Amino acid sequence: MLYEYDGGVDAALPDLVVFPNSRAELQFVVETAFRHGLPLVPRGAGTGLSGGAIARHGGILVTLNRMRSILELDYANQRARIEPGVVNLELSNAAAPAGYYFVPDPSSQQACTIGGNVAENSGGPHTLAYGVTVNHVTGLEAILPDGRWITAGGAALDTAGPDITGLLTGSEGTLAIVASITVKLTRRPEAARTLLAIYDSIEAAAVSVSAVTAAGMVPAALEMLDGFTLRAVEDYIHAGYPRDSAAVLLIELEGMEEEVEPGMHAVRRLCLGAGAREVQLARDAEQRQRLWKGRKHAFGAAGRIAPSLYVMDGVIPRTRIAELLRAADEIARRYEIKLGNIFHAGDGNLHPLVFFDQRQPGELERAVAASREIIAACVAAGGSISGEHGIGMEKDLLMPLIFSEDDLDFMRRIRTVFNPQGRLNPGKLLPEFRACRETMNSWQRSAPAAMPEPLSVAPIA
Amino acid sequence: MTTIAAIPSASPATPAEVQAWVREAIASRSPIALDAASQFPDRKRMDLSRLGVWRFWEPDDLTCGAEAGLTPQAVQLRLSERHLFLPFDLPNPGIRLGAALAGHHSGPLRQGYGTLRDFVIGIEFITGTGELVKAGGRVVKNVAGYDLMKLMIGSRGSFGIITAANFRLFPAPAPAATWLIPCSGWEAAARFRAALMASFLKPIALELASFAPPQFAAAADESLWLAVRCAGDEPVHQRYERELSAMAREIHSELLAIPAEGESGFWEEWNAWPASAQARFSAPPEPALRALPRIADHARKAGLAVDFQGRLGLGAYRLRFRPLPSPEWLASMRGQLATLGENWLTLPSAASPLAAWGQLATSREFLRELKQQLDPHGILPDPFGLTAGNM
Ligand SMILES: Cc1cc2nc3c(=O)[nH]c(=O)nc-3n(C[C@H](O)[C@H](O)[C@H](O)COP(=O)(O)OP(=O)(O)OC[C@H]3O[C@@H](n4cnc5c(N)ncnc54)[C@H](O)[C@@H]3O)c2cc1C
Repeated sequence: MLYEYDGGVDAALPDLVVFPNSRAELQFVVETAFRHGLPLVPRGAGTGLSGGAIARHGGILVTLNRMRSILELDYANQRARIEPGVVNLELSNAAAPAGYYFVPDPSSQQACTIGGNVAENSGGPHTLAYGVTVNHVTGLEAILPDGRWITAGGAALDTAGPDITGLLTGSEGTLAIVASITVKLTRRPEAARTLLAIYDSIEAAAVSVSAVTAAGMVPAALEMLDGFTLRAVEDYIHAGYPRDSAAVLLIELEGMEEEVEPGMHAVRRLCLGAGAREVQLARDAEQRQRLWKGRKHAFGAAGRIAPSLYVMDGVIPRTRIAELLRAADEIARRYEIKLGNIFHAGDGNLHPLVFFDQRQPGELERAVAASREIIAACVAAGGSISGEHGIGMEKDLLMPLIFSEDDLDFMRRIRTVFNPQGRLNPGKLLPEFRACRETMNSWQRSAPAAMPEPLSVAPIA
Repeated sequence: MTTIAAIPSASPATPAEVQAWVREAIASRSPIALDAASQFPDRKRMDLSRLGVWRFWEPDDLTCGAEAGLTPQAVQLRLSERHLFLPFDLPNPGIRLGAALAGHHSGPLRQGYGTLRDFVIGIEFITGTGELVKAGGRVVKNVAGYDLMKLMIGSRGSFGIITAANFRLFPAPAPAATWLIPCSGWEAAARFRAALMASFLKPIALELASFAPPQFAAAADESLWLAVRCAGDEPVHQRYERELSAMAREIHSELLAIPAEGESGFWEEWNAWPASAQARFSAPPEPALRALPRIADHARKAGLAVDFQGRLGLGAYRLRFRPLPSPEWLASMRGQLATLGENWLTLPSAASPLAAWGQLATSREFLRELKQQLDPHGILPDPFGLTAGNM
């Protein structure tokens, strides 16, 4: 059943799926669930990759994709007010005639909702220079699980009191259900140049990313695809990536003509200096779109090569990319699994793709155990367990890898204020440690021995 | 209302000492103040200026971490060795990182770079129950756990005492150029802003002030002054000059170029005004331009002089009233502004937090529950008046 899944590997059946069309209907659903003590799970388009929109403990799945009105486009103040079910790309398309767009552009932007983006604090290829969702949300209206409404922020950049907008963004539907969102609209840049840097070794591509960052260049986008993945993309999309390369970097520079041209030459020099075989400039808009189409459909292309695909998400300092890719490769070889790499290289956000066949006994277990080791390697390198896909029910038990019990306890106390009975999206983000078999995630079911040890790396200290 | 400089009762040198001191405050039920001139002189004041450890620096990853007692200048100095910087042009250069974070301070560079909320990637603080808590991390992208950076920045110590933060750094900007544009009135300022926003120019500062910078004061017969700053190479400067000149002509004004050698000094002076700004005002940028003249008019009628300066592009301003308005005046002003839509006007030196902040963006009742949960002993500062007595 569709509503059993999201884009990740976990599944659970809701008791009921509802589709409110309005705030009043949403309020009715929330109050009814509250009266009957039922779990309530908000859901957008269900493209999430960490099981956030899955009814892990059953209950009511509140699908918000019918609340999809763009309430206001205010170009004079560079704001839009929308309902949560508005699809990400629809907002940018609506603002395009006036020369504006909504910056966060997850690769799933043709399907995912902005409510989902807010809940996950989503990123995308073009959030490197301009910031992720939280940097583009100024106000929210949300309903608490007991039916009370709260307002946070507004259209003004500063509002009186603490920043509850920032706290709600990225809270994965565990604090409140967002019913209206005020976002920034950004002026489309005058010029853009897209470069394709081609490499004979993945190492040299990784070194290029570090070189560009260390030189203080902040391109609008800096994405990497390894040879295995780019060949899968070529088979599917024909984006124009050279099939014989070991890796490519897709680099975009944006701004005024006077800025973009010298920036492009500087990046080109850095890539060639770090070992690029060749750096091509997209000739025209058509070629540029094709290169990006390849990147944006890469998960889909990868999904065609193996019966099962697990898209991972981890972050590392940008100085450690080459080292981490080597470590991941070694882990994959040890577990005899096939690994691809496609990721937001400019902000160190890795997405190792684990290819396996869930139908073969032992394969899921090996895939999960290898993934866990890769995430642990990200943490050991000074990184984090998620850059954009969120914790959801996929990684709740990995939270102790980066947070102490006091850190987690403080977060629980915050959740208690918003969601005292824990009935809003239960079993997500914060570890429960009491999962029964039915509510276990695939990590627990397949590799109980591979669960995290207590905190060993304190990221801030 | 009088504020009394509270005598520091403690100046801890490490987060562990802050923690011990908070625990002691809980045990002895002695509330804590963090600011030097506290509205609550009966509170024990904690001076955090000895928290001076540089936690880490990865210049090639454009990240660093520093303790709350360091000054932004000390941080900048270190970063400049590698041509990096934090876009952190605070009005009060003596302020410490912890206070800048707690107060969510920013300066003109906010137009180009955002505020601390946009570039703090990790935070450490001592809670109202005496634990040391961390959130975020050392990497520039991270969604693990609640974003406590956002909760802590700007909450003025209500939910914890910040002891350290990690930052995403920026390459030092390319050479900057600045132009000043005298402006005959509000409508002209609004037209200039609209033209600039519709262009492809992306200035790193875009300001509006009600007074002339000192070097132009003699020639000043205009009521408003606009300032635009860009960063880039010569061709970028030339393009700004061309387009800004055309925009200035449209409002019957002209560009006054600030000489390159005085450019950064110009911004230091601009930002240093006024030594003690007394109020903050924020609204969406266009309504802000309708609200400010109303404030000035209302003040004049009450015999108050008012100057202001702030972010024309973003709608965030600082105001200086002479003499200070009464709480009644503030309440009636807020009532008038309400008809212009969403905005807030705060006067932190008002007699009570309620008078200072007026209506909070999130209901006071809800924030009070949050405060009660995170500071159950009521020992942390309460600048927004969230404890029971203030309901
Ligand atoms: C092919 C593919 C590519 C992707 N690329 C990217 C990428 O580049 N960057 C990226 O960040 N992510 C990416 N993702 C992940 C996913 O698309 C994002 O997390 C997206 O924001 C989820 O939106 P959604 O509407 O599908 O939300 P859902 O999956 O339905 O829900 C996600 C979470 O949000 C909560 N939620 C949804 N709506 C609300 C609401 N109104 N109020 C409160 N909580 C709510 C849910 O409870 C759940 O926890 C990709 C996914 C796929 C399948």
